[in-house]
Amino acid sequence: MTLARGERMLMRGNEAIGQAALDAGCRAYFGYPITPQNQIPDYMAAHMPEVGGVFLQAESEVAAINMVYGAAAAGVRTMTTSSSPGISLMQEGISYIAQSEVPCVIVNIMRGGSGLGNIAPAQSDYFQAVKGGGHGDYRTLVFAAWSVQELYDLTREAFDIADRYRSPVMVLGDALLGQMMEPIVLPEEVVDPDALPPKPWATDGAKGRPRRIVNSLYIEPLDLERMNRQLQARYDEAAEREVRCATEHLEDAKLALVAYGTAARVGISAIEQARAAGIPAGLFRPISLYPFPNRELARVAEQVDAILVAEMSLGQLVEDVRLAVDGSCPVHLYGRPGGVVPTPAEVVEQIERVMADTRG
Amino acid sequence: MTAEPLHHEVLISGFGGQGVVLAGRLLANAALAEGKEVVWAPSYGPEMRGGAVHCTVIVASQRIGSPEVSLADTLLIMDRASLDRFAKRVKPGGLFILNSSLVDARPDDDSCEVVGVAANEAAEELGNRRVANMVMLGAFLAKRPVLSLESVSAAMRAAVGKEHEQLAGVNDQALARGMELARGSSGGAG
Repeated sequence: MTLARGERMLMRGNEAIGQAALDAGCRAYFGYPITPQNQIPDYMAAHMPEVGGVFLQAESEVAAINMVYGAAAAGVRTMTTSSSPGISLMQEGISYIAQSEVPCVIVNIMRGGSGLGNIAPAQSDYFQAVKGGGHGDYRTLVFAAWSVQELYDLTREAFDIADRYRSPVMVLGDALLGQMMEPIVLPEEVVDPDALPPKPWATDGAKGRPRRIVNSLYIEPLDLERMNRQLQARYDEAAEREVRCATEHLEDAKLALVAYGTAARVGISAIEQARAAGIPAGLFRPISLYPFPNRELARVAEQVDAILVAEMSLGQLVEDVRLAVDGSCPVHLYGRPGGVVPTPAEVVEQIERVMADTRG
Repeated sequence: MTAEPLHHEVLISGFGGQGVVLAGRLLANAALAEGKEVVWAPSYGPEMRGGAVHCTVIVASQRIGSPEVSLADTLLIMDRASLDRFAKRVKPGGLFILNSSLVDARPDDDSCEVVGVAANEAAEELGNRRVANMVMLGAFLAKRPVLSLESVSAAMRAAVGKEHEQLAGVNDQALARGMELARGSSGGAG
């Protein structure tokens, strides 16, 4: 396939994720179909063979994540993608991957939940993504995109971050970001997987060298505690180096709207409308959801009169916002769960409500 | 004089086979070619051949915030069921282009401009019933020239490809016919 690299082109979010993985040197993709992310396995099935990699449609999400575990242990850049109920099925495997300290990329194109829910855009897997999701003392590093371009950029970078921290990295999108088409510019350079630094822990054949073991079993509590602390030390390092966030119109803002992904797209439209009506509102957009931009948000909280959290879930992001703000200003919630995308006008109403409360 | 920033939200709706999704993609590709900002989003779900289908396109001169079209500036309504479904999804003073071949009713909103175009008949007169979507696009471009006919035509030619080049002609005729019909339509509010 010839792509017009370096030029503006239209791409669907799901396709951009697939191309990002190929460009990052991902050579093993495993997945099981689920709406609204099926364009990703479709794209990988079409294009992974062109670069000599493995595309495999597994018999289930449980199988897919364990295939990712195996490929990751062998040192290959690997990815799986799914949507909310499918990601739930993968949690056991993600826990094993995290404790085994092997890198991989997992994409969740979120849909309405809980249960079978629906296939509309949602953000209700926030807790599952940032608090661990499976059993044990681990986290996944989580990044959330708000555009097709950013889905590409973050998915591609996720492979580097996964290798750096020997950790699963999750990229979050939603049904709308995955399905929609927007202009995107693909960079000219792509990663040659054979030119990546060697992985001295990978189980890629022990001929002529001592054997290596990839494992998450530590029978002795003191051994497991040491391993848990080792993971935590990596998360602490990520908190120093991998925090990403973006701000707009905050310089003179009295109200900060905190939102990520599609909710932040709606939010910036709302802020522009509010500003046109003379309300000084600004946007704080976390891009890394774990590690969360605590310090950056705490500084904003000292400068504004109030914070409004807009999320397509019912009070998940707001908990991390409250932890970061630590009481230094009031934090209000506008949550729309169930696959509902709020309109900018609805968010403007909430901004007006919070401004009225705050003045009162 | 600086022009007003462009931000136009279009919703196209019909049933599977009417070329609703393609019409939206052509607008999106034309917008890209003109260097404009654009978001195209399909309806998706448990869809089936012949079932309801719609898509949305936002064309703008500046960055697009919300990618979701809640209320459209223009609705291209290809069949009666689509009117029933989307009659309320319009901004005050917005535009309806109705495929009057299949839509025998009008939206209630008196603030809106309503243009009826017999797209199926026009397409059949041109000898290809499948170009009704192009007639509708032509009508849209005549009433709301947010994109040039040339860019939409170029996007269409790219979509039909070299092997079906003979189809480009009838599609161009359909675009032109749609423009004519919309300009000649009595239109007007209510």
